[in-house]
Amino acid sequence: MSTSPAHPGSPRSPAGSESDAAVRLVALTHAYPDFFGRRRRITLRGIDLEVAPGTVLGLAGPNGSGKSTLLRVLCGLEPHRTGSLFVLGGHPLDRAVRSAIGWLPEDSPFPPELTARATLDLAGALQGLRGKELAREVDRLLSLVGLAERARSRLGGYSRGMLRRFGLAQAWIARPKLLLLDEPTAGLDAQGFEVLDAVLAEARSNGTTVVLASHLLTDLLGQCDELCVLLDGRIAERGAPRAIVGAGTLLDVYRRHARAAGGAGSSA
Amino acid sequence: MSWSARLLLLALRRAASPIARVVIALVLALARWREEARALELARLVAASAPEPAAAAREALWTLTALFLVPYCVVRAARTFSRWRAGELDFLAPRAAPRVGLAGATFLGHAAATVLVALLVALACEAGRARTPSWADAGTVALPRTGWITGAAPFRALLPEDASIAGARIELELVLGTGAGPATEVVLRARRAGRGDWSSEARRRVGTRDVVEVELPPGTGAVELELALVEPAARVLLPADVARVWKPATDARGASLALAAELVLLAVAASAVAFLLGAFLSPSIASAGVLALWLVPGILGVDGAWLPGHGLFDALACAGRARVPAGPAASACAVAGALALASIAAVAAGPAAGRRTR
Repeated sequence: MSTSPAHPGSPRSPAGSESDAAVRLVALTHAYPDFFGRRRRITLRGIDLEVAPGTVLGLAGPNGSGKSTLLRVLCGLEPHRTGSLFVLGGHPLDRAVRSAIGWLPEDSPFPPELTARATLDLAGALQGLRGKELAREVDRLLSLVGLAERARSRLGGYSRGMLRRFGLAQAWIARPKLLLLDEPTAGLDAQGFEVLDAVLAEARSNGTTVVLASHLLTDLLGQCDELCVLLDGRIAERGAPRAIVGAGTLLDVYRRHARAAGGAGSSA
Repeated sequence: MSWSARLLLLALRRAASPIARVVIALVLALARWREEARALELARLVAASAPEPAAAAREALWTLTALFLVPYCVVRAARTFSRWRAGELDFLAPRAAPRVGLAGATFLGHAAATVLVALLVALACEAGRARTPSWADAGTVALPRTGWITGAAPFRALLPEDASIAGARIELELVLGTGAGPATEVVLRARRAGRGDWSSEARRRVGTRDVVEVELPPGTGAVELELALVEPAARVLLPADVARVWKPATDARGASLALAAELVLLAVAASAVAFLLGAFLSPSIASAGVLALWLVPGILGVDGAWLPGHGLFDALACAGRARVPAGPAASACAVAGALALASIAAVAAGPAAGRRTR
């Protein structure tokens, strides 16, 4: 059952929320249902997480650990099963909260018939931007992600890397207070990495909270203030990225936790 | 431009996909050369009543349009949600815009494309045609129930005053009974009630199933009708117990507008159901479900004047006789509107809404 309160005010000033955190999850669980609505696969098992405003949090974990599901729960695309969920002081389905969330999905599900400019126009309008403000923001973002010259090309003709860059632009339109990025560097070339750096730099200067899921150690070490390792739907470890990874790799981290879990299991 | 207008245009653009544009262009090209079409010449030679070429072309073009447009709209609407499910909802849903707006603008864009195509077909069908006077369908009048009408016992009825418009025509549909050969001659007469002589009369040889119509006499007041058979052994039946009233119309081109309205109503109502079913079922099963649902009233024998599209076949036949159909019934318009609103609300509140907890 949800324990999220009605959102009392603007998500940009979440006064009245239970904490000042941009994201607060308490014992949150999630399961994908089957056709009849029964639990089929548990993906998140009792997540407790608090993210301070302005933090860039990295989510790491092997495939199937629940990173994408957690991001989808945070942006309101997936309902949680039990526990509490506070995003920007409200629930992600509250309209005021939705207008303050930017979301880059793992795939790039943008209308292939539309040009980059038309799609950004649509995304901005859906986020509440209008008129000259919208036109200015669209121009600025197209330049920021290096797609100004292809602005009138249809997205159906874009390469995967271009679509990821476009995805960053549509997520960052209207400068949201919470930016959720699912595998932002998948398919990006060197220029694309620079685009991600530029978007994240703007986000930091804007005070935006960023939650970024990635398999790439370079993303997580270079961009994130904190790292959260998810294993089998649980938070296995959280802290400074360098402190968690050390001189090893993400695979070393996963193996260490797997061994610890195995040892705990055998000692029990 | 607002987000809802942008979404509407996106849906409109999708509905007018390249294959749809090619088919529409072919249909419109057919309309341009309608008068010269061999098939129409053949129809004129074969048909006993020698239909007007313009009317035959109109009927053929709109039949073709109906055969293409309705299934196309249904399949397109049924595919909307599968596209959303495949990922597009990830782009659209986590935004400030309300979900009912997303569903509503998308459906309205789809409906707008349907209206646009119907208007284009109407324009192509009627462009270059001269205005010609015709008769417009003004509804039906109930007749007293009767059994077989024989030569010995003519059928008489009194039309109420409000249906007895001077200059209008009354049409009866007849079915020929056995006993008088393959055809028989009938006489339909009309006069104002209380007047001595029959002031208008029409004779027709009726074979199997046919119609006979007579012009209503000038003046006011109720009208008496008499249907008599010339041969004493003949017998006919009125299968519907109603008479159809035709009013003078200034322009036969109005038929295309009435047909466009019938077609749009059917396509929009069926699309609304497909839009909803497509949110839960695969597009193909949803489309088949729509077809099945439209057959239910017919199978149950329910009088379906309220069912959008119920009057389409009648309207096509009407246009083929160079007459102007009545257009959709108000109840059918209400049902189509209700279906559209219910579908939008259900899709917005259900699959597209997201839920706080499961």
